[in-house]
Amino acid sequence: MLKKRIIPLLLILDDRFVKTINFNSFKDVGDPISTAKIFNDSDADELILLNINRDNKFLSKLIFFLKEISKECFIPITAGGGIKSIEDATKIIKNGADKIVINSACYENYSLIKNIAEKFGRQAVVASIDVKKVDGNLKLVSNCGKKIEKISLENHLKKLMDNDIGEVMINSIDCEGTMKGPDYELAQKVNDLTTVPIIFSGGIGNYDQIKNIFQNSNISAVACGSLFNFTDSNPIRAKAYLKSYNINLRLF
Amino acid sequence: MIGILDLEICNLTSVSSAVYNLGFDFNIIKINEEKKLNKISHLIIPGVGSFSNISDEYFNNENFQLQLNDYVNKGKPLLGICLGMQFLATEGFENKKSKGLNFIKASVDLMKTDNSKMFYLPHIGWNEINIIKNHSILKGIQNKSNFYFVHSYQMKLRNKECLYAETKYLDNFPSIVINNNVVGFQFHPEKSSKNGLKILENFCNWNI
Repeated sequence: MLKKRIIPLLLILDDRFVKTINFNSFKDVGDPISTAKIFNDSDADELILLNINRDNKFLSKLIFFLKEISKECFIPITAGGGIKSIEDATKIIKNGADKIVINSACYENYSLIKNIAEKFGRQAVVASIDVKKVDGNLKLVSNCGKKIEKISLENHLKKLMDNDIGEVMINSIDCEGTMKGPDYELAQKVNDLTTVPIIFSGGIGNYDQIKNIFQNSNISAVACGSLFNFTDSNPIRAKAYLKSYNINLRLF
Repeated sequence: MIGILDLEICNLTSVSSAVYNLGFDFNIIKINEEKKLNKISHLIIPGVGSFSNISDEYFNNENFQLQLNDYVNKGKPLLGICLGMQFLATEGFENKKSKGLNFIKASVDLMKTDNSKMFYLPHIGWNEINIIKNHSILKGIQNKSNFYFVHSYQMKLRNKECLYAETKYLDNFPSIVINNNVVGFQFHPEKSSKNGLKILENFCNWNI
């Protein structure tokens, strides 16, 4: 049986890794290459690199770091942030990513997913979905938290799956960077609506919360930013804790 | 010197960086560079793509075929990774029926699945290997160690003599096969963290 995954989430802004809170207040957390190497050495199951600079020319920065990181890290690498076309996706994969992440471009053109999946296989395409509550209602948000989309989560997920998405990554903007705990209701909802693997992210502040997610759903992976960037936590320690609860993890 | 075969269908950086980081020099060999096979001690065939593509590309180059058969007949080590392992088989059925290298008596066919969330295809992620028989390639690798897999097709062995490890998804499938000097890994050692690097190092150090 496949193992549940623990994934450090790394945000690239210009030349540095940063961490945000609710998609704002950027904090520098270090040099991308050495940080990625540390996670590689501390038993991360995968790495997710996201370019959070919306100026398109900076896709070249992501590619630069991806290339260097893939020479040092011998685990699967997922990368994206600003991918708009099959050409962008090809560049990311040619420079060392095993999977690409696509977010805002999905809403404008769902068939882009199908086209990328046809070229690289559906396992290589991850759709990232950012959500936040507006007047108590769950809304999907694109363009780094700036644009509220009209489509519902249910319909969006259905369209993604109809277009051969390989995996879905869901992130709650309200929880992101707070470390106050994830939105379990959201986790359950996405779990019930999808038939593809799910990466859950946003708000995870301790190992017990990871345990709750894995025990109460079929969610395949958690992605953590602040937990691994701002505390003495790392994937080895997370697994040491989770091991006692018989969660199906990669321990050796 | 470790040779890495470049069939121009995949990114070789991960494999070559892994080999290099383990302390071995490498040489990328293109399909029209069969003479380079004389200069290497070990050969790796990495693989991403489809069986029929790799087969069409390979069997178009007669000089390379002759040289590779000679290389294997001399008893020099050959490793196939993922599709590279599948291509060691007699024949494959991805897209159409195509010829393989026939170094392992086997065919390659679609994995069994029930289309549920638990057992969808491709089989992608970390899974365990169950070691069936010991071998120097497996030195330092514990039974039930995890490796990273990405594939929808699997090898079906004609006899179990070559089977050294298998992995369970919906059914068991071969994850390590060895026939004398020819080795195949269904997983990606270059993406399998410490275990992957260890088993790759064992291959690169293998003196037959």
